[in-house]
Amino acid sequence: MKRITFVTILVLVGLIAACAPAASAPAEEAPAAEQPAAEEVAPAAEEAAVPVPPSKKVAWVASNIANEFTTGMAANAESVGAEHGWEVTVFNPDSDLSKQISQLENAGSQGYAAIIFDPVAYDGMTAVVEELTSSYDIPVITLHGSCSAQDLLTAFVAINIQEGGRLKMEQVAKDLNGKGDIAIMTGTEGQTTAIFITDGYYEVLPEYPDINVVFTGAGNWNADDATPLAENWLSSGKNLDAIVCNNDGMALGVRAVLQAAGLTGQIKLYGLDATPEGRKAIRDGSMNASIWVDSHAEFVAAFDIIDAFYAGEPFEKEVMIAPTLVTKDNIDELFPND
Amino acid sequence: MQNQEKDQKHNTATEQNEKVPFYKSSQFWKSTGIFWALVILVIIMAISQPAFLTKPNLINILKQASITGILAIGLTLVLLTGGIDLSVGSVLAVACMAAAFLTSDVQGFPVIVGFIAGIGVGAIFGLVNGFGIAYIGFAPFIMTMATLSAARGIALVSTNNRPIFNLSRTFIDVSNSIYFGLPSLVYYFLIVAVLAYILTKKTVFGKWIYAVGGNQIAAKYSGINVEKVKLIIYMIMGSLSGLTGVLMASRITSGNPTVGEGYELDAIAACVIGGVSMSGGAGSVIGTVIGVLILGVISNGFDILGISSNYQRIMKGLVILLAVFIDIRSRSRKNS
Repeated sequence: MKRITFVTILVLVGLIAACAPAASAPAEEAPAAEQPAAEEVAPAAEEAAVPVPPSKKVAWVASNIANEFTTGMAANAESVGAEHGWEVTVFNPDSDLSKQISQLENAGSQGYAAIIFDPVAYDGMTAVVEELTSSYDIPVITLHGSCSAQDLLTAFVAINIQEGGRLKMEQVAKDLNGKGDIAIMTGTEGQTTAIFITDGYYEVLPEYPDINVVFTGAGNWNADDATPLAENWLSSGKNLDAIVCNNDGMALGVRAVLQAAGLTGQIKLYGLDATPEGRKAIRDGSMNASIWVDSHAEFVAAFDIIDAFYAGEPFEKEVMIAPTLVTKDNIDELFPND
Repeated sequence: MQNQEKDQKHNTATEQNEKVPFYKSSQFWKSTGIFWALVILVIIMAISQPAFLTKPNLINILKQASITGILAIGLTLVLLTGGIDLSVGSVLAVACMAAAFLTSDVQGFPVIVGFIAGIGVGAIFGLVNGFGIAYIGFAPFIMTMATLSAARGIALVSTNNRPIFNLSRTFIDVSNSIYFGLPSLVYYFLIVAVLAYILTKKTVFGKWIYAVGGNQIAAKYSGINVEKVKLIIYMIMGSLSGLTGVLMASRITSGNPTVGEGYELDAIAACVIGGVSMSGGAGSVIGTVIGVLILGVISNGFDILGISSNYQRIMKGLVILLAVFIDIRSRSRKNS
């Protein structure tokens, strides 16, 4: 028995050792890379006031990496970071607030030069943001989402997502000539982004009294929950002219249902995010419109702020990026390389 | 003395059964209680929303219940042996990714390859689970919780979280076709249900499953290879998870690494509602099928009524407790 225990421990130690170099390599490289960078920065600006980055690492603490959009965000974080000369580590808290808070705390203590995060929830971040900004002299930036501790942050970069919801509903009204029955499919109930987007819809709806919202349901941002929900709506016997989804991921699930029922085009479909597959759907006419939320532009803004912070230059504390409506008419113009 | 009493009771019961038609005996109502619960639920839904009882909607319910249904039938077998499998949703996701990857336009393999890969991947996870539980001695909860985490990680790592699109037309047809008025998914569910019914009720292996779950030590002394039975059951479960992964990829016309999260709980709920005991040895495939339908009716009915999914969760919780309560009561009456 003792022997087995011994062997097990040995195997475990071996495993950890095997994993360790991969994990610690960036950490070892970091100080080496930091040296010349710090030297470069220091003479450029007035020496004393400018903070020196503790490493060349930047943390991107996502809200989740569960769909095409958030996956694209992580990719943009890495590529834009690399263009700015930073090595980006991506953290994925799986939409779990307490997990995100721990990851933020860890990023602080591990000597990251900057922390960019997309808050899982609007409220509940205050304590950790306070701890990060008071304990470390590094930029702490929220990106995409926002939180109630906005004042404590170094800066925030956001998309006016409510505006996106508004733009989209206006397009729906235009496509329906101001009259028809629609269903609204929201993201996970209670999540801030879902609430803001849907609030945008309802800013527009009072202007069109002949548009009726027949159904509202949560598709939880993903295709596998969106599919049965859309099927149930279709079989309810109620008339539907359009299904408006909070994101493309759900809209693509609905698209499959409409295709199977032979209702593509007959029931108009709307998404949000303009993911690659969503754009394809707009091009082939199976989706009518989406909203392009340019996370690339968000990260460019965020890394510009980080660079300005370490160069001792002034920077904008609030950067708002406007979303763009994507339809068949302007898609080639917006995405010529698809 | 007690045995004599029991025998007497038993005799009178059978005598009664000979006199009164079976459908009038209390035994009948007790053993079919869960079925009547489903009927009552259907009636309530039909009254609240006339569109509920239309043919397309009823077909919808069957279709949507199919994927959870296949998982629940597999879990019934696992629960009957006194085990549990929490990894089904994650294994589903890995199989979903494997099938989508192979049948997408990049690889372009025929449908059958997608099936073999998906079911094969599932069977491998089942083998790992079964081996860990039966031969190494990990508790089923622990072993499959570990696989739940690892398999989800594998599904996410496989494409770096990206979904896979552009599956071949023939593969998309797998879950989205209609034969003789019924969606193809329903046939997969029915076939699995019938096979599982035959396995549990008509074969020697079926008797072993109940024996292992009822009293493992007694089963061992009576010459049953308990370890082997468990290994096979987890492999069947894994293969079924793999099958659902393939069907899911076709249904959502994409491979999505986050698919199936929490499905294990829905499947376990269906089993429990259908009267499968969490401690093993008691329950039936038919009960589980009804349990699956009850959950299907609740979620479909609430969607049609436009009731928020948050209330569906509350309702699901209440139904689980109610079903188990009825089960406890009917058991305690039978024993007294």
